[in-house]
Amino acid sequence: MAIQLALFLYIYYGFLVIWALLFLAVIYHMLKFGLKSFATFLLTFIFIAVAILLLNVSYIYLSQVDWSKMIVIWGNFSSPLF
Amino acid sequence: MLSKYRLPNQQEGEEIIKIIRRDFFILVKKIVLFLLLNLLPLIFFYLASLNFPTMLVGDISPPLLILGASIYYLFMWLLFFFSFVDYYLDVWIVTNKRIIDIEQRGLFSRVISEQKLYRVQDVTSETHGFFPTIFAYGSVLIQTAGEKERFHFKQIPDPDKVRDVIIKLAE
Repeated sequence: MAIQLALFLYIYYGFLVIWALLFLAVIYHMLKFGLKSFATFLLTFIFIAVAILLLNVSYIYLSQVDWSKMIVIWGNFSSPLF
Repeated sequence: MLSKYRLPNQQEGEEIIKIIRRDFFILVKKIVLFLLLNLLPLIFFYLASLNFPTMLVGDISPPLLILGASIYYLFMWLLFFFSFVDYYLDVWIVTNKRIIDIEQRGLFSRVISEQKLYRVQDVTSETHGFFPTIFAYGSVLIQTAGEKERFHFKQIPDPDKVRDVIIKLAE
């Protein structure tokens, strides 16, 4: 039995959706309930900027992968996982 | 947003005397823990390269490791953001007329209490522990004659000075 490597990518996409919703919820809280000051806006900006940086770095590495490759779960062990 | 120029239920002639947050050392502890947790994947990769060198080569395992690392670091950053917001949104405001206690409990729970200064009956400051003593942070407990009998300013800097300020304002 073999599965496509892209399956893990779809699971990753699902994680990203949940992550993005929670991240937006936290930003909403920060901007709605935080004290109106330069520090609040700066800190929110920093959090968003680092999140974008992490997503960008992830994209750079993940875009270089051939996701059409197949992983053999069991059967023919000539193509091991590692 | 909460504005220091326009407080909720602001009274005429009311001025903000002090806006207090938890001591900066509390945030430093969170940052140190976060940095240590971020080192874990790097330690894992180092040990894996020593003991399982074939794990880091090939067509299958490196993409899975990259996915795992991406998920881990994104999750850690979100967790740190949660933790920071929990710290940052806890605010105690002392004005010349009342005390406002704004406490963020997790992400989806927020408690706001306020009490007029003339109802303050007793103010106590406490500092317990090695780090609180060294970095001069602690608690201020305010006994009031209101529905919420006790206000608790937690882990704030210079609790003795805050106690003095509140006592002088309440007189």
